[in-house]
Amino acid sequence: MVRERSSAAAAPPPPPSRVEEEALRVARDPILRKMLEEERVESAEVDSRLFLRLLSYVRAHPWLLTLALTLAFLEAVVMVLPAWLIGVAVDALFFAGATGEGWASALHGLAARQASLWWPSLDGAQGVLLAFTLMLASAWSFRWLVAVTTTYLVQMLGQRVVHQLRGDVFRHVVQMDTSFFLKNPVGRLVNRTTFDVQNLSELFSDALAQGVRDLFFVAVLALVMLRLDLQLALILIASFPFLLGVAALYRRLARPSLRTHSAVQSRMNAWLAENMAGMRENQLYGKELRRREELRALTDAHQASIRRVIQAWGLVRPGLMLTSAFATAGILWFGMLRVEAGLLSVGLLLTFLQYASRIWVPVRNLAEKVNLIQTALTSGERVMDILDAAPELTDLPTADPQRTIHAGEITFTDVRFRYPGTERDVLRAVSFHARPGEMIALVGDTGAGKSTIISLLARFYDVSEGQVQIDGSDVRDYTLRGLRSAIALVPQDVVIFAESIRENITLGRPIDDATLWRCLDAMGARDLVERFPEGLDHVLQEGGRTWSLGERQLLSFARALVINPPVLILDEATANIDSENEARLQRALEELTRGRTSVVIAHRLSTIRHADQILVLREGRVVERGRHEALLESGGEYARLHRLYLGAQERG
Amino acid sequence: MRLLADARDVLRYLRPEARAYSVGLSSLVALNLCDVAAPLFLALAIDLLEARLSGGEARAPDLFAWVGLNPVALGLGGAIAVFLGLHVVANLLRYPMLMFTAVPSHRIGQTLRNRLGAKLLALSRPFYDRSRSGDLMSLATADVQAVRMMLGPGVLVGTDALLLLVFVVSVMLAMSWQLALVTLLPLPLIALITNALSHREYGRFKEVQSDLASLTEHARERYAGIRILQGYARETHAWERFVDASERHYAKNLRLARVRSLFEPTLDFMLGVSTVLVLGVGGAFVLQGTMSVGTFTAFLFLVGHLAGPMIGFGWAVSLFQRGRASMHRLHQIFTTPVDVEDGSVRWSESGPMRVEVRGLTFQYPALPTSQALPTSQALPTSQSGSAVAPASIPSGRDDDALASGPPRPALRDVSFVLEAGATLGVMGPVGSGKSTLAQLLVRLYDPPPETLFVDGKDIRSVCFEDLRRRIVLAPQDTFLFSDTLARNLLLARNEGSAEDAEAFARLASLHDDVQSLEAGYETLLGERGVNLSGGQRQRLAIARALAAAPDLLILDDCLSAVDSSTEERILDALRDALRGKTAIIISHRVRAVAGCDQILVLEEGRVTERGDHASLIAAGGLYAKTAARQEQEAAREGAGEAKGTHPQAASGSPVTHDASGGSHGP
Repeated sequence: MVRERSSAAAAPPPPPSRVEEEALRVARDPILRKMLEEERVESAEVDSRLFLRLLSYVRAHPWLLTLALTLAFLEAVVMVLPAWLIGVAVDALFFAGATGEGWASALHGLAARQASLWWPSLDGAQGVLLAFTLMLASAWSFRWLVAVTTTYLVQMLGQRVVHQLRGDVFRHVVQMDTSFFLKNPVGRLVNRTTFDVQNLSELFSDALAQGVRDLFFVAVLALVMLRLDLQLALILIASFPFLLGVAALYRRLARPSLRTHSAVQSRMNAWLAENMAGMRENQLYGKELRRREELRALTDAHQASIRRVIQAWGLVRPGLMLTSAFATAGILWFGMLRVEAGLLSVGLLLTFLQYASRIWVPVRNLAEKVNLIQTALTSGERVMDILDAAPELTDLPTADPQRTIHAGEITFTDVRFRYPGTERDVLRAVSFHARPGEMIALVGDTGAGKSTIISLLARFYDVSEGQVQIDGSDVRDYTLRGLRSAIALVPQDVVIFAESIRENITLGRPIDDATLWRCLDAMGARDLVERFPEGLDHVLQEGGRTWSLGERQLLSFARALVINPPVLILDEATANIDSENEARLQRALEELTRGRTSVVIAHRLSTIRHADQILVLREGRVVERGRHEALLESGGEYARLHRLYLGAQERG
Repeated sequence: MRLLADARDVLRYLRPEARAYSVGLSSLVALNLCDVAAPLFLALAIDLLEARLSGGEARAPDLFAWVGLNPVALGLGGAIAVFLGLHVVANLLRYPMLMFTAVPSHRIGQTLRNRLGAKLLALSRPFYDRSRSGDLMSLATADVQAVRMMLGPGVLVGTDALLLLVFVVSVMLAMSWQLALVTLLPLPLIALITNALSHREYGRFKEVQSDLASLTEHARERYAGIRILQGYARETHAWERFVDASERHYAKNLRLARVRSLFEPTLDFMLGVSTVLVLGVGGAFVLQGTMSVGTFTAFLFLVGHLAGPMIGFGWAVSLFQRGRASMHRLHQIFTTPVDVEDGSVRWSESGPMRVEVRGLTFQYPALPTSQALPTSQALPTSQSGSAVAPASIPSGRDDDALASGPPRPALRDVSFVLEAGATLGVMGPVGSGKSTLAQLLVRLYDPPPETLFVDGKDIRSVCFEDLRRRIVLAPQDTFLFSDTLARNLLLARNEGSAEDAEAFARLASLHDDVQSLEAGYETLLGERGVNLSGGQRQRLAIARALAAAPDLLILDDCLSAVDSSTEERILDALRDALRGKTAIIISHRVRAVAGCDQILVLEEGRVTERGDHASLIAAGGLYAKTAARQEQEAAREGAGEAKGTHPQAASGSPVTHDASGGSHGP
């Protein structure tokens, strides 16, 4: 996790629920156990911080929000309309205008006036019936229109928020420092950016928005009923606590089951993905039977957990509908008594009966969303954790945005470095000086500190002690942008984006085609581009996998050359490149390093030969330095390495 | 007839659960009867009430008289009590209905999953070469789920709709056939609209899902290449590009929202149309005096029961359509023949193995061109909130086998004899057929009959279990399972302790690396654990193969990502470990094969040189030239560092290891 969870550290995760225990017993899978434990910790803490944060995103769209809320209220009003209309119509038509006073009689009057206006030929009651029928039809049409618009607006609001949030998460992540990327694997960050944010959108449009709409509906309904008939209204209102009780019971039963189920399902899918990817190993090592047993155990656990989910689900709906049936029967009974007593009209009773048959729907909506809300809150928490993480390495307040690098003079003075959170120095008092235009080659075993030196130069890390200077100023006195735009970085693993060749070289800078072609020519890479009819606009495959490694290298050289930087950092690729490309790369490399200061982690003898200085590193120290011939002559570490490999060759 | 065959398949799936389904579906019948009967008693109550008010005689719906009931005798209170009673019974029945249909449908789903798993474990390399991992994952998740939905909710809702429709329509017809006909008018329309909407919704939902996958890939690529974006100070540009992509995704989501926002309101509206018709036409009947207010009320409430079946019909139909398509896809996999068939000859002997190859010419089976490159496709499982992005299945083929151009044999007329206890080196440039040879020896692909003999038997006749117990291949890049390091290393056995693992780790120069990990041999590897570097993975592959104690060990270029001094150490250790054992060492480096008893040089699938190191050097051919070139290179390499063997692999060297981490979620 990005942020230390203080509460999680303080309190141990709650014990596993019965459902979890059952699933674990059946699955016999240690990874599932781990997943469930993590889930428990995460679901144990969800705070209002998240809500406030999300609210601020919603508030960014005041007009949309106001419109959606207004429409939602209007929707609630039109929702109660049809049943009332039918009730009034029944009274007016079948019970000789027993509509009493108030709105109902006003409506009756309106219907009568319309009928005599439009259909004077029809007998009175028939005309009024037609008027009422048309009114009901318009009420339904209007209700349809309002409901469609409201639903769409709410979705739009949710999607806008999600779109914004997604962009914010991405922007935040790409400006984080290297230690952040070490703590958070790419896969996790990707999930936060897309899937977790997507889950949040469901919280918005399905849960929050629906909740608000249901709340409006219930409120409006209660008000209307209270106005229509106090006693019957009270019967319906009294049934609400029971409905909520059923919902709460469902929540208690369903939550652990749903959580377990979703963990088991993730685990099962991950298992499938993994074993398909590792199918060759499974077959070569004869693991078929064992894997079948593992899958069987996981599907058994899946079945056990889904059974619990269905069980909870099988209780909630009957529970809600039963409550609603009792309310209906109550309305019927008391309603009849009141009708007989002349306190209530039959039409109004019908209106109430219709209300009673729908009253459980909002509560059902709420209960159905329990799982969704839970998932979304967990996702939200994770997303907020990412957004809350602050980069440790940023521009210093003293950094001068105007300061730029021209000459490319590099000085390391007594540089010490240890990776954050570790105790071992990986660089110990490293000093060197590179005059503008010189090439420094770094040589040494794995872990000698070569990569660290180039990381410090481009300020992916800050030195622990000592100083790194370029053009006489500490690298921290430049802004990160100022520093890095003067340094071209060519890493060992070539990064290719699934974009056009142009985009891959320019990385979005406005650079004209003439310059691009000049750079490609200089790298001897024109033919790589010309073989495609779209030329520079040819879109590369994911990771550039249809290009050979050598070709990808040339592209990354062109990427460096095009910004014509005073400083070049190059980590040569070691992987086997065929001899034809090898020669091409060598020529390109000479061209690329010409006239700029370069720091090279070299794997090719020819590169090292031309270096102005070779630094031989061992365990974070520079043990030898000088030019190739001088180092060979001095018979030290460099010469030893050289001999060792020639010797190995001989021994065969 | 396709439909008939599908119906038979559906019934075959249901048969093992026939008992459960019959309980569930009979509960459904009973509860539907109760549901339809209840509004009649409501109507009766209204009519009794009206009679009391007007002082006239109650006119109960004729229906009661037909079944020989005298409803008036029941009285107002009795009618209400029966109304409530029917509801109670109906709702009690809902529980068994759900438990005896939904639960067994999931059981069928599990059976399907297990069957699919078993089949996938049995299918051989050629199948995986032509399949995409994303497609296979979606078979196991989406398609199994679609079949399950067809057999569970599909069957339940479909039956429910049918029953309710029959019951409600007959009751309505019995009460007033005229009004019944009028109210039934919009019904077919509801079914059509529901079906059309749900189709459109499904299509757009799929679009959103696949767009989400590409948005995810977009983000993954940027995060993995963060060094370049930051190193070139292009964060803002990257953000703008991402926002563009996100905007497109937003638009796709809105397209989906447009259909979704039509859904519920339209269905509600359809129900509204029916009530309008009841009011208009039924009201006219009441005014004429041909219908009682109670019957009118019964219609009003029964109409509500009609919308359900209609919506249900539309839904069930689309569930069956999707389910059928998925069922076909699953059956296609179930009936896919296994390309490399298991042999029948058991093989109990052990000891160093003799290998003989006679005139072996081999060409990879042709690939469908559209799928030549396995692409992985992210499959978000939105419910669980965690993504399962299947890693692409590594292709076993030589690099050049996937290249375009006319198909040509990967191996041509290769012959050699490897005596028991001897070592064979195979050297050659990339794409010369070295790995192909290795893969044929473990029968990942099938050599032509009578070309490859192990201990005198045609390799095709030996059963996999024995063959792969005795012949073990350490590939260039091995797969790490989400398990402890020790268990990954001791993959060949089912159990194993850290001590068992250590001996083999030492042989492969992996022990020191393991020691530097916090949890040592108990470190969790794979998707949820530590990601080893390329060199460490290769060394693990060697240790894993050694731990299987094979009679023939094949090392397929599995030192290419190991730095030179480590390579030297491992080769030394192997020389001792392999003394007296049969082994094949494949490499593009002369150094690795130089010590072998016999060396073959492969070029474009042909053996162009053979002999021992000294004689090949003397011959001055490709081997000698490569040796000379590599001798130079080695010196340079020695001064450098081999890729991917950074010691901070556990704590992570900057970015490179994470970049290779793929898009696996935690």
